[in-house]
Amino acid sequence: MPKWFVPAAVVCAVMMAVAPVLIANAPYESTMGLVQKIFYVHLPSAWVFLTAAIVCGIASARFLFGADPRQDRLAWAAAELVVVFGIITLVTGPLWARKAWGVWWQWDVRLTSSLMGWMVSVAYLLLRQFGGPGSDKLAAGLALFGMANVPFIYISVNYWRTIHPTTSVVPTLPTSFGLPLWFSAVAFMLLFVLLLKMRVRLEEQRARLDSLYLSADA
Amino acid sequence: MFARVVWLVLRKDLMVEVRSLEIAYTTLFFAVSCVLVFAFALVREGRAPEDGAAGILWISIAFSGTLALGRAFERERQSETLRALLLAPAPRPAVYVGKLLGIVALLAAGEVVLVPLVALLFQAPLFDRPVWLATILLTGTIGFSAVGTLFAAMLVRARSRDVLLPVLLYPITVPVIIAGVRATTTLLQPELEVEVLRFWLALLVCFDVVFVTLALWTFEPLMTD
Amino acid sequence: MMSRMRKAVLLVWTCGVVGSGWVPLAPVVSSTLFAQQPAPVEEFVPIDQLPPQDQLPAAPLLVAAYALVVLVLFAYVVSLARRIGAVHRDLDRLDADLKKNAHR
Repeated sequence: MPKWFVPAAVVCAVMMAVAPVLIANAPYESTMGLVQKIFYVHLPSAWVFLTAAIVCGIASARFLFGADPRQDRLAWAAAELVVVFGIITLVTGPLWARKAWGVWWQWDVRLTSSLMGWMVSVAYLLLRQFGGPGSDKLAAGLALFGMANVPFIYISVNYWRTIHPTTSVVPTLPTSFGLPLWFSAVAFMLLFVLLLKMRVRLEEQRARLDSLYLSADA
Repeated sequence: MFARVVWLVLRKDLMVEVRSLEIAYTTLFFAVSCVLVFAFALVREGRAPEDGAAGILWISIAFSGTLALGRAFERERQSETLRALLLAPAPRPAVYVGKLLGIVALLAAGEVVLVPLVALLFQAPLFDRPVWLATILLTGTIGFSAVGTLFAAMLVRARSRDVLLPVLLYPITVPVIIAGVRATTTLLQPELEVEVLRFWLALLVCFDVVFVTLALWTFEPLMTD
Repeated sequence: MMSRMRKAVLLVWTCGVVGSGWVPLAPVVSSTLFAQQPAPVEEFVPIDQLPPQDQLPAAPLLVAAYALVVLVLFAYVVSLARRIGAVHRDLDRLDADLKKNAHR
């Protein structure tokens, strides 16, 4: 593991421990009350979800047009993290919505397109697992289409009148809300980078194992 | 050169299909059974639900389209003709466009039968505004086929290709299906709201543009060994 | 080859712009389509800037959300650790086998 890994992991752990304190001290929001505090994990995990999808898409494009196996490993790792953070986003959201909107789920643009984006990443993992030889390139093609979905997910909420808050919420946040949010976001992004590095390392070790097997057979 | 290759590939596909009509008949029958299953499942007191027409039409197009895609490329795989096509000194994007137009033609033939059937079974006034309907169906079919042709072609050599095609295809094409259904639903209202219809149509065109561009761009690297 | 591709892409995009450019997009239609939906939240307001309101009993949902985050992340880290451990075991075993064969 690279030198920055352990210090970064320690920083991340500390931030994750401090974050609940900051969140608990943040003021209550007027209309939503206590349940609004889910915001401090829902929004950062949504950001990581979209970022991971973009990382997967860019790595896939570089793999497809450059045939660099490191990019393929990065794309697979990013796709797994899209699934993980997608699960977090798509479950914390409805838990919040149950109180804030009165329903668990709404088929509005933001939710529907996010769910579809998540399903694309699950399909990516299924393809890698069960597609046989050559599935690395096919999955890269799929990831490109999935990445095209990401800007749509983000801006959709500004152009359709939906029940989901628009993107103008974050820039207009008062500091009392903003501090725990950005702290949480940095912690989640750091965690994303750490998990990505670990997952890429797993893939590197697998590749080393494969080449060792091949040389042992020779 | 590009247009010539497109025409040659399209003509080949149509000629092969017209000789046996295997895919056309089987896909058509499947689409009809699909509509009937929906009709029977949703019938209450002997009458089918009136608002179901748009959704059922597009679901049947999606399902039968997936089947047609699978069968069309299975045929290519069996005769190794896809490899021959790729070995030919023809620009790869042209091969893709030729195959895409062939699939669109196949699905359009299916829709010619599906639309009257759905209109009949669900008492949906689909033929009141035929030009709008044709535009919606065309843009939606192109969007669905653009992604489908790419994925079916790239899965030709993969394992578990039969189940992987729908697994890969549906999450990507859901926006096209949604836009198609909303546009068709708007069309079926007694009072036509033209702005709303034009909005959904514009969205369909956007999807078509994005998907065809991406497919043209990635077809070559995806089809090399 | 690239220029032919560029031409094809340019053609597709032109059709797209022409096709979608004749529709004024969002504002008119969104308001028509979604007029009956509740107004979207545009900014958060801290509770002490408004008259006091009842706190909704939302604790179970909040606890469930945070517990889920912890559980999912923990499960993923455990899964990663197990997979890395399995690969390391295989690597060590293979290294040992290779050394044994090299000695013969």
